[in-house]
Amino acid sequence: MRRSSSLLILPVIIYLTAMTIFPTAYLVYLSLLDWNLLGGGPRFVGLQNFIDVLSPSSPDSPAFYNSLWITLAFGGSVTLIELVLGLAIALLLARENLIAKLAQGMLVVPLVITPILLDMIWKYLYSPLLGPITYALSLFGIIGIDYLSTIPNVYISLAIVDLWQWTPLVILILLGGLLSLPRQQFEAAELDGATRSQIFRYLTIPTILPFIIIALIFRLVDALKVFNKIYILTAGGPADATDTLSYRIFHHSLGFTQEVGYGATLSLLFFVMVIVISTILVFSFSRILLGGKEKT
Amino acid sequence: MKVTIRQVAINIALILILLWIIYPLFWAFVSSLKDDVEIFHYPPSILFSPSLAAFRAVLSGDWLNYFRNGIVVSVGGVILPLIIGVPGAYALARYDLPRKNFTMLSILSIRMMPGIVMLIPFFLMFLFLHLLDNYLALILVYTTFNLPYVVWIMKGFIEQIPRAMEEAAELDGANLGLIFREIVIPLSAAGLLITGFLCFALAWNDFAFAFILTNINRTVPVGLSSLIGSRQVFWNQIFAVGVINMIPAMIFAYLSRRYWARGFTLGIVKG
Amino acid sequence: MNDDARSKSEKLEKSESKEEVSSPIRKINRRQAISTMTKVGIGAGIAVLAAGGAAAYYATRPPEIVSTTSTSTLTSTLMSTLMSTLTTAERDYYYDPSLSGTTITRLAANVPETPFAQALAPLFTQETGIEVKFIVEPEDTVVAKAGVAFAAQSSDYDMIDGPGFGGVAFPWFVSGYLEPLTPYIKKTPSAWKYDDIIPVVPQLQSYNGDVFAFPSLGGIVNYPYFYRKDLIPQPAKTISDMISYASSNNKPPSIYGWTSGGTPDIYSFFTYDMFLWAEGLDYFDANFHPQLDTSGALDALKNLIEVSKYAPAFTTTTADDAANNFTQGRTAQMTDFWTWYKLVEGKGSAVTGKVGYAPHPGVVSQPHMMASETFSINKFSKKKDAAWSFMSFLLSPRMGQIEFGEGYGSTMRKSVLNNPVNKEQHPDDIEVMNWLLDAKPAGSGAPVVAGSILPHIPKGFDFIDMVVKAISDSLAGKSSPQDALNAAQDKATALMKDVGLYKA
Repeated sequence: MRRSSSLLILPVIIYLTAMTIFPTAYLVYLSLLDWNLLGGGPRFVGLQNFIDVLSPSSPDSPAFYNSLWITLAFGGSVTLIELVLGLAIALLLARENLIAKLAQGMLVVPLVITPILLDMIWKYLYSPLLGPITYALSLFGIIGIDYLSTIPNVYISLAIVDLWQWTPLVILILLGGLLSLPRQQFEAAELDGATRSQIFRYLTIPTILPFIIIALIFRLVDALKVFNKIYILTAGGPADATDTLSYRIFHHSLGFTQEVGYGATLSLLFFVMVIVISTILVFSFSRILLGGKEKT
Repeated sequence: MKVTIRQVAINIALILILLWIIYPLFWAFVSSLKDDVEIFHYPPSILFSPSLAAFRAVLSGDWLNYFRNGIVVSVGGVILPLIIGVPGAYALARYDLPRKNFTMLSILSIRMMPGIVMLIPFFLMFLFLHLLDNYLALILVYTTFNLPYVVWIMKGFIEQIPRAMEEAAELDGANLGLIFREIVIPLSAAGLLITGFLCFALAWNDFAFAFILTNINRTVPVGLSSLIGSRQVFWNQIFAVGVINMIPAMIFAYLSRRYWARGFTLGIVKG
Repeated sequence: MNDDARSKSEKLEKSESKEEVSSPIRKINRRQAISTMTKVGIGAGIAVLAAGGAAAYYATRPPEIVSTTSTSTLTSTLMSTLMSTLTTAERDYYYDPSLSGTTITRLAANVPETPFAQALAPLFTQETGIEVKFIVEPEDTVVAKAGVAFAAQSSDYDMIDGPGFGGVAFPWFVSGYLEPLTPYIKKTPSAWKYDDIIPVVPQLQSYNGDVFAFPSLGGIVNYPYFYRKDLIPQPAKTISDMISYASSNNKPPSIYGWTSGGTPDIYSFFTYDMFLWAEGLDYFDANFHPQLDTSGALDALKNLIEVSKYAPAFTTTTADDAANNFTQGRTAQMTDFWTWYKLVEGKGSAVTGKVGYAPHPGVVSQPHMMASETFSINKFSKKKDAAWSFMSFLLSPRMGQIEFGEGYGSTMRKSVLNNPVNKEQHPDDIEVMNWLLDAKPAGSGAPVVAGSILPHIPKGFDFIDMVVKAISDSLAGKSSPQDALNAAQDKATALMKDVGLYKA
């Protein structure tokens, strides 16, 4: 019976393989074509698309590298900020205070709201004609700021939306770790006369390090894929300031210029990039992820 | 008990955090109660005579269909992954399968994959299969992205069930089905609930795939985006939909809050 | 949670060490699990019931007139009048009784024409027995879905909208995705009066003699300039007037000086060309040389940059947002190309009675923007006759007068323009549209003057992208207007040579 029931894993494997292999193969096929759905059929061009996108001397590649840079820079920055902020808040919330308990309960809320709805809420908040933020700032005499259509502002505004939505995730993960810390060790350390910062550095951090890493992996990979916000709030941003890779792919495959071959090329490159980054992260910390903390 | 400055500062910080979380939600709630004229008033008012006009508009005709479609594909996007994934999680939890680590991590990679990449291939695939605007297409897509959750989370929960119980049942002559029904499912119930909720949330809130794979049988997020692209953006209706969307999710999330840490860390956190 | 888990695992450990799992212990564990499940399940169930109950309650209340997708202003009296005057005699559109019972699908763009057509569809169904299903999407989604449907030769859509006055339908037709309409026109009853249609309209939607599209509301919109009569006594006649009115009326955040579509896509393109035309220029000269590096183009861009300072969040404002801004009374002027005046002063407007309409500053006495959504028939459709029945219905003389009279101020029919009643009641509309009667497509012998009608350009959207990039880069300060335009000029020249239109 043992051997046959290990076959229970097969449906999962078959299903996932089928649903990912065929689309990926189709993407590879598309990326070898120059195909504008607006007019004209597909034309085989081999690896020309890749050369156009990647080679520094081709006219299309600056846009790609700009997109790549923005994706990595924005994704990396918000992840970093969320980790730091999340850790600070988690430490603050890991106590028996009534307000802390209330806040803990509310933490899940930003995570269960429909993301697209959240983006629309922020679009309203940021609206220069209707938004409460505009009004609030005008009371301080700050008038006429364009939150989403000038260059430094748009990054800050988008970062705020991302922070609002995802810092709670980091906090929850870290809280889970903080609350599972064995209290005896802390009490023993205090009795031994360790200062608060010593406890923090030598006891807290190492214990929650796995959780920080989990939060890092999840947030970074998701932050690289940011699409909804860009679509709803900035549509690529002033000029191409927020033209992240996923938005670029969407815009070029399904916008007015339906360059499906180009979109497929970008998709493959994006796909490879995310897989590589996540694989590096996941395999580096695989020991921790796969059960370093198992107690059974 | 002495109230130190530090404690006061901490309390202030906590209150600020609470306000920070509440601020956008407050505006969404308040705006949903405005009528079509009040919503365009500037400065945005907090005191006004509330009206349920927005709710009435979004609980009519088309929108009821959107809600129904969302429920159908979301429930499908929970049941199918559970049926396929829980046995798989069981196999991974109990048996020393070859290349087990590789399998686990590959499954995780699927979760990491950017969905946008699959938009065009899935669209064309379902177009050729004449499954566009069909619940099945979305359910299949959501199952693909939900299976990793199911496998990872349930594996963690199943590992916690002591093998002794199953071995004893085996000795008593129970087959695998019975073991599942009597031991595995009940004892990992919390995991099933978390997983079910996460799967439901992913399907219910998805925008990109529903956008491209449906025409008339839309889901709620797609309906929302069509409210934005029109002549007049009726924010009060958008937020009314949001409030309706939010309430069940918030209630459920609050009631099951103890299990969130385990859910979000995919079962790695055992405490 | 820690206590629960700890006690549970303690119990399990105890049971393990007993080397035997007795039924009571198994039941206890199961009971615990079930109680947890029940608790959470009950909570969820209550929530769902509450939501469902509220939904049912509100769904059964009598509906208020709250518009969601329809901004149509067709009054109910007009509709009932139309419904009761069923044409029993000769119909003025294509009609085939055997088509009764068919259902056709129209992939429609989310523009003001569509709710109007949706409001008229029941009348059509009553008269012909053909049901019409509308799938309404934003414009670029229409293009995306249609493109993929064509690639798969799908028959899912029978009628498909195209934005940009045939700008999108043209490449579709050249690729063979659209049904030529000339044979259908020929078999439509003479009461439809094809000759009554202003010639340039089907001429522009033709390729090699075949008509492939029509304006989807039987009309072409105009009125690019709106202003607040209560704030600005006389409409601006020049661009610098418009800029100075914008500046003097700019008191953010309660009111801004100007608004228009400025997103980095077709909207900013259409806004910019108003400024270009005010310089007496167009995008190309008679030999299809792009004119982007001229001093006029540079001045136009500088003017646009200047006036956009008085617009709220210009680069994230779509044309719809701009109309909304103006309708809510938050801007003093608007450059637009889409809005019909009844919508600006219609239900929910904050500026009813305060709106002035005029040709756009700078192009006052010249022909200018002509725009419309168009619709066509899918070549792979299986219900082309039924689709043409609906199309010809919407474009018929009877509907033409209604569409104009309902305040949409646009038409493609000479009889409507020449109708003395219309001249008396809507003199501004008529005056602005009169130039259409004599317009000819460029390249047919007529000189290319500012805003004259250009034929469709292959890879037109690539050209739009180039211009739009120049505009956005300048607005964002990423490059000087001069450099941005020069870069666009180079690319555009290469494009015109590439598509074979460039005459040396």
